[in-house]
Amino acid sequence: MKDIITMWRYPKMITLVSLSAALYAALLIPFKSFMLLPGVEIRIATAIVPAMGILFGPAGAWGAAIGNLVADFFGSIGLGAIFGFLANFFFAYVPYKIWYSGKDNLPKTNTLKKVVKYLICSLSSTFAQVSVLAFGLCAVFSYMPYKVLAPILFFTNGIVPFVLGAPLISLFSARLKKWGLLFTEIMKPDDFRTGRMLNTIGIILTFTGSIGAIGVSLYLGIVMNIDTGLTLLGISSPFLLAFLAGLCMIGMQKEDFSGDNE
Amino acid sequence: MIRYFYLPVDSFYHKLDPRSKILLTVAHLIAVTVLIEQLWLMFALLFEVLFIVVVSKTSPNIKRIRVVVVMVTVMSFVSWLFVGHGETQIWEFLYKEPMLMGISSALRNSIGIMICVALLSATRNEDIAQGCIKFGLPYRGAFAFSSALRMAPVLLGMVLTVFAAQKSRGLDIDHCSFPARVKRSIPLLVPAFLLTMRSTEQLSMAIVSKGFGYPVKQRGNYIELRLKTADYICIGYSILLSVISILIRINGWFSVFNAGI
Repeated sequence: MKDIITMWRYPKMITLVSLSAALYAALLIPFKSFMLLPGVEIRIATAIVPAMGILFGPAGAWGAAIGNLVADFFGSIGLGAIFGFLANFFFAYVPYKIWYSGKDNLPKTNTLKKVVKYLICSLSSTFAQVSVLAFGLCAVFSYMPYKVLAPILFFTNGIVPFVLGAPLISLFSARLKKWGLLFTEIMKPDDFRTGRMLNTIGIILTFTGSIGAIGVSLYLGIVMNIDTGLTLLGISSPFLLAFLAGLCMIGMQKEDFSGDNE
Repeated sequence: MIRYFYLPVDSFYHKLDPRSKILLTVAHLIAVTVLIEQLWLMFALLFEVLFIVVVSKTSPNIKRIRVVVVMVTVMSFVSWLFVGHGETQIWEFLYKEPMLMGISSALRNSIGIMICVALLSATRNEDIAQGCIKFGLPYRGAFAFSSALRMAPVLLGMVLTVFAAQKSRGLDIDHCSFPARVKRSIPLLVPAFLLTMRSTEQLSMAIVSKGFGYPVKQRGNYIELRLKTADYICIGYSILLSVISILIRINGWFSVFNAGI
């Protein structure tokens, strides 16, 4: 995951972080009053998050994280905002990693294969976000029961990007490519982990880690009434570590990068 | 339309260094996070935070977001009441432990929101960023954060302009149900996104032309922060509050109920 550090060398990427964060926050803040649970509200803005990751790479991930933190200042700030920050970071980072782990990686959803690829990325991003956020709010801080929070997060954060994200990518990518704003046109291959030998294992670990964390936690909550606290934290942590390890293994290919870089 | 939270009034809290205000905010967030079972102490913290709000003259901003505070408080209580698991039955499906957990959660969330709004109301965005840099956050990260904080209201205004332009072309998002309003608003994401990203090139050229990105060991800043006696007292209080809260939690002192955590 060295790209999350190396991207800060590029002023254009930093600008993308600021602007995408500001836009995400601007789209989240008006809906802060429509709360289903503390800190959980209806989020139309999530439609752009996987697209931000796929188009802007690590800048989209940092932008989603910072944007969520800025929006939290307007209604749901607390120590739980730390995990909101992390969850939204992975919400954009995971689809970017999975999208660029394959072969035909142009950010366009103009074929059925590409649409299916995007839907898989969107699902993986939702699992990642729910697993991290619910882990933090329920297992670490005991804010609310896991079996209540996790299903609501799927509803508020998973449906909109799943349905709307694919057409948004196609609508954005051509214009952004013309403006030279895709991260593959700004950054260099050396800034990323390249080499795709471990990609399959990485993707499997990413999926099983996030889905496993959610599944085990829901089981503990529904069957054994363990909704918060150290037991939940201890049992779900290994799955999240596996998820992180999987993400670290996924690499990109040098052919995805174009010639003119800063 | 949202406005910046910062209120340019003259108060004791405004004059504190941003670092001491950030530490005070974090200390309160730590206290309300760990004192789950100590309900009376949570009520004491609530009164203390209300005192800070009054002293800092930031109550207009609390009034601005009162709907959010009320929603958070009510939903915190309700979510635990009907789903939490307890041992002491009060009536039918109502148990004592989830009810108290709901009260604790409601207090925690409302205290957290109010202390953070007090911070934002009494501290300019630039001071928050400079305070974070002094705490060790890299300059570029602080720049991205403070830029986002500053630009969010501006971009919201731009999004509303796009909405107004479409309304003038016949889009009706006012006289319809909430789901219909959401559905009609979604296509407006595209122009909002592209209008925002169009300014990336200019903004990046502007910051590079001002020396952003040059590797320097010690970056100077227009804002110079200096701690005064009041700041040291505030920092000392913050550390004390955090340490005592953690000690109380570890030893289970003043516990009103067993949260089972």
